[in-house]
Amino acid sequence: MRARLTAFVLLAASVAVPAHAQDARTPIDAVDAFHRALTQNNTAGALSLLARDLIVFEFGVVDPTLEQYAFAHMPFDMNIAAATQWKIETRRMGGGGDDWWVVTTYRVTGTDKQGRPIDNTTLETAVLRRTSGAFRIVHIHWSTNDPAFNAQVPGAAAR
Amino acid sequence: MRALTVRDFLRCMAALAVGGLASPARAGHGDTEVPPSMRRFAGKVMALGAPDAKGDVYTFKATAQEEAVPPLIALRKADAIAKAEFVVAEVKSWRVTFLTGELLGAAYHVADNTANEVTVVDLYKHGPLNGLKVGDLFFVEEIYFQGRD
Repeated sequence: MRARLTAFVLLAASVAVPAHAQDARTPIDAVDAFHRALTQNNTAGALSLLARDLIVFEFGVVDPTLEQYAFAHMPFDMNIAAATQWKIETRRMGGGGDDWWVVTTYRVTGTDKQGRPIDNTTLETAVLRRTSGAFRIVHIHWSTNDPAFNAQVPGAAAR
Repeated sequence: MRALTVRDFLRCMAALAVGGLASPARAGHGDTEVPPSMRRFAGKVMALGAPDAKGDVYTFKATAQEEAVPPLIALRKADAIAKAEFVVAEVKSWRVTFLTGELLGAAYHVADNTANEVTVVDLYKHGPLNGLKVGDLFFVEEIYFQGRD
């Protein structure tokens, strides 16, 4: 992949984005539409933005297939998306042709089930491929810079 | 009584080698405890219904478990929870989305349900359930049709 830095932007989280992969004509459209689908509990819409050969790394855990992510993890991401606000702090996009990447940092705030505040920076790397004119996510990697959160993650201590 | 969560259900299903999915060891977003964003069942297709006169299938049998059952509902449907079944008409008008197989990503409006059978209507224009296979996994979510999304 031709890793060419093409943009560095600060964006508000309320950027209007399409809901479907066929409308995701740019890599950023696809990433933002995916987040919006999670927030809206739009399971089919979120799946339409993910490639069939998706692999997800999330806080030290691997979802090796789209099916694994969809069944075992996506509902929790939807719950989190509904309970928190994700504000884009920084974003870079690079690549070329049909292969692109979007690296974003989000300030994530909200309240957990016990009423405790959620406030951290979540880091996201998304790799996207264009097929039939639409971008879909083939890899996504989430992590956080919150040491307290990382300390809670099973396996983190072994790393 | 402790209501089963989707996570519990997934672990049980993984233990049974459902669908060949690897055993999930959840972390990350899922470890931050937040309320479910809606009522949601996770399920597995156990059998296909009979095709209609055109040869199209719109019914399937399933086993399913709700993600987090509200306490009053749990009291009312304790038997169904124990059997991983629906209460009759419990998910009527909800949306089912398939997560594996040929119909991955396809959504349908639930016309009606019995304890272990779901009948759908193709409001979302994904076609009949003809590609469905025994063992396919799905969510049924409390989302009502508001036009094709």
